[in-house]
Amino acid sequence: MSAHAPKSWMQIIRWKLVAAVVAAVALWFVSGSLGFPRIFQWMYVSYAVLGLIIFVALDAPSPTPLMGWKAGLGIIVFYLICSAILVTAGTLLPQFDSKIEVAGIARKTVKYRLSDEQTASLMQRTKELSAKADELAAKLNQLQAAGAHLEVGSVEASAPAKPASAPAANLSGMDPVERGKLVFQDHECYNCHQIGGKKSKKRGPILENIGNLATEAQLKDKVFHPKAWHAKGFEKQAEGKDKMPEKFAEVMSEEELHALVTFLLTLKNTAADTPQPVFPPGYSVK
Amino acid sequence: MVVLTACAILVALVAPSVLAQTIEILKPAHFPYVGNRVAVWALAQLHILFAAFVLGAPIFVVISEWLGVRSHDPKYDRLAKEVTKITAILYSMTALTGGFFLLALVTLYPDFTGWLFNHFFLIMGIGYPLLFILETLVLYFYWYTWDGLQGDKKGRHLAIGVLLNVIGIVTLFAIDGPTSFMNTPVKAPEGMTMNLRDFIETTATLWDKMNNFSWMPMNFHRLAGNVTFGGFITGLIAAYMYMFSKTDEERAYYDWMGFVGNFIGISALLVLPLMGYVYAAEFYDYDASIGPYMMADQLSMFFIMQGGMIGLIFLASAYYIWMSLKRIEIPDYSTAVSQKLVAGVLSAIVPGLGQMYNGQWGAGIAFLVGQGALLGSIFYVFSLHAHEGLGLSLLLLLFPLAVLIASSSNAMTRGSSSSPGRSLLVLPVRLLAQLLLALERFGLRRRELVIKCAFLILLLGNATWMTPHAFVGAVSSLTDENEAFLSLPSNWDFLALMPAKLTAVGLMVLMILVSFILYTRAIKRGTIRWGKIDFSSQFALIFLAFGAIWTMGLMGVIRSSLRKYFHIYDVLPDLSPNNFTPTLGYSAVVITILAVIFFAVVSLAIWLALGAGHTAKKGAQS
Repeated sequence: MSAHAPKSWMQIIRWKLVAAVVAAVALWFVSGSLGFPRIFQWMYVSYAVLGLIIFVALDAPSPTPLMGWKAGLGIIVFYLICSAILVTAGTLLPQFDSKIEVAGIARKTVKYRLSDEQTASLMQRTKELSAKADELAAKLNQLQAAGAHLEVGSVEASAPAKPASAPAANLSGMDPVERGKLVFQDHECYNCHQIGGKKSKKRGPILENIGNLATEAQLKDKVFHPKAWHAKGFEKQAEGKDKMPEKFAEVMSEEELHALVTFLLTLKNTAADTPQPVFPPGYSVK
Repeated sequence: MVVLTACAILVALVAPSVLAQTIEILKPAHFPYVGNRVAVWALAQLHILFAAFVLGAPIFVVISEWLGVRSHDPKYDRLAKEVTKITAILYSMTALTGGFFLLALVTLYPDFTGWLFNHFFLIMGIGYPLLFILETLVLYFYWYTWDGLQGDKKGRHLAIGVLLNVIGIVTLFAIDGPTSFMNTPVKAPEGMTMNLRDFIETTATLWDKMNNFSWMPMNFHRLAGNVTFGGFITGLIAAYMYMFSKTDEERAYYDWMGFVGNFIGISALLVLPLMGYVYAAEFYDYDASIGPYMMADQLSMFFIMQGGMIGLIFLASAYYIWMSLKRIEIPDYSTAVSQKLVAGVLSAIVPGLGQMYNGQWGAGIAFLVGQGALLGSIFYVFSLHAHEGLGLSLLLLLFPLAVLIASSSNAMTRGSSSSPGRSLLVLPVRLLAQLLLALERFGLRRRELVIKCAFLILLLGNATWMTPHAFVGAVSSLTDENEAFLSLPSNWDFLALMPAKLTAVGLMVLMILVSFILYTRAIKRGTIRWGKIDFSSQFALIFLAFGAIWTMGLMGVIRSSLRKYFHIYDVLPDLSPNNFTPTLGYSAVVITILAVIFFAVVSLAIWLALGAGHTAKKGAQS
């Protein structure tokens, strides 16, 4: 490749710049006419600029090698530039509001949190039970020694629920429907189920008319036992990879379940394409 | 160095067994200024970075040593020895940061640490520390016997190296057990109605807990990641030493070392997207709600950043290849490489295309049918609509078309076709070839087209990868009012779905492969002028190491954030004040600071191992 005479910067840049400008303008107008929002248009235009930088860099003349302390300085400056670009990019991209998540966690962890009095009482009770367990274990050991074939299971230490370090949410007195909306939000039901007329494609069935199709007991059963029944057209998802998680019986409290189902029962938009429930033969609520 | 390592190992060995029994009665301490979470985050991240290098580097060190024996080229042995010397220094840092990490866990999160240690006592309290000691002993044995076990005894030295790697891999797999368990704790078998926590605490065996959903994918992902990381750090060492070399011989050697480091790094990097996909798929499989949370909700912007970083790493690597090609003297490059080689590569990738190029009409049709079947399968599997299929088809066809144009511009303009059908088939290709030839008159050299096409497709692939469903930090920020201003149009939603992302990353991997094959073939056909590489390429090597480290840090944040407000997902909640997800901006600052600290330590280690040593040696010689 060294057979060619070195080009000037102007020779290197001119046609690339023209191509980049044409590409940027084309990307802007084509993506705009296809209905892409402005932020996407800017992203595609920035790729035209990145392309220009890359293709200019490919043909750029060799820089003078840095030697000794200048090389060290060059490395430090390069790290600083890389760091500044990455921090800027990370900061400029949309950020979520941590306060929303913190409030959600406070609501979701109510079931795990205990007041100081409850903790003290629990610790006292644990000590008593522990002493009793030791006593029982000793007795069982005596029985074993006497020939009885019994096994004493090891008592696993488990982390006691701790008193709240962060303030727990005050949920008493809240309207159950409003509370249910928060549960729908907190447990990320929206990631799979469409409500509120959003157009995006979801993995699970649309729930906008579920209030007309299922009873309170059936909905509660479905949330805590996802395999209990399924929505028509979602036979594959009921068993396959995209099946509804079976964790809600463990991570959701009864209070949350009640509020969620109260909210779901208010969803009665008959124009919505909510699929019919399919109950297995002989189905009864667990 | 040895004393430091010994102290850290002592802490690592004694602390778990003693503390596991007592830490649950400890009250969590508060780490000043940055808080408990950042303190543990920083120590864990630094420990993982050092560990990644000391586990990854020995893999190719042994391969390099073996290549030296096979080829009788002393450069390989020198490379292996220099990297081992730096590994030995960084090993003490691995042990030290590991010791501090353990201390931080015990004092800042005693409940969680106690719970985890109780469940993995055999692994964390006994197995891991013992393996660590064993690995230290073997590493130093490997290092100190280097000069003694030469000649006929080289095989024994290689065997020690292999043993070192076996222990290293077992150590990695062992500690991945509890780590992966935190994300995907073992569930009760189908049919057993038991609470998850109760099952783990009363029924699940240690093996059940180790062999959880994401353990094996994490093992392989980390293994390939460590080799990539080791390769790029070798490139970094080479770049530093090249910049500070005073003789042509040294520059030639470190130029070669940079080539090897980049080769290893990129070779391992090519398999990482696939392993990352399998790893992510296990999360989907474990809990379907994790997928959207990761890709379309709260962590989606983190993945945008990750896509950008991987795109930049691919581009930097291709740039390094480009710079390397510039210093290869090869006669008639366009004929030798552009036509025959690219046609050959394409033949390997899509057999029909190569046949079509050679004028075999039937095989060409077979290719088209195959392409159609492939697309059909994709549509079926992912239930795509026609317009989505069109977009994917264009994307899939872009790669072969672009390279075909570049590779066949000579043949097409010679007018060698004979059948009318074939003429019709190649007409668009011919027209584009004529256009490219016209561009050539304006300074675009034909022999550069292949790799420039690769750059273009790398850019297109990255733009596709970077296209999110919506530019929002979390779905909760997407309201009915702002949806139209921030989301993709509904009929272009497929650009944000997995098939489009996989196609994009597949194209990028293929482009790097094609570039690399061109590169290695050019090396065989031409004369490489070692030591004469463009100086700017050294910054590409430095960026590759920096980019890899930064991406590792980001992926660490993503993996930890997937647990949401749990220490152990869905089992053990984190009730501390810092149990929420850090924002991307905040994470970027922390990751950058940690990457810079890591680089400062590695730079010091390189200077101690190679720079300072060289100066002393030269002083003694003079």
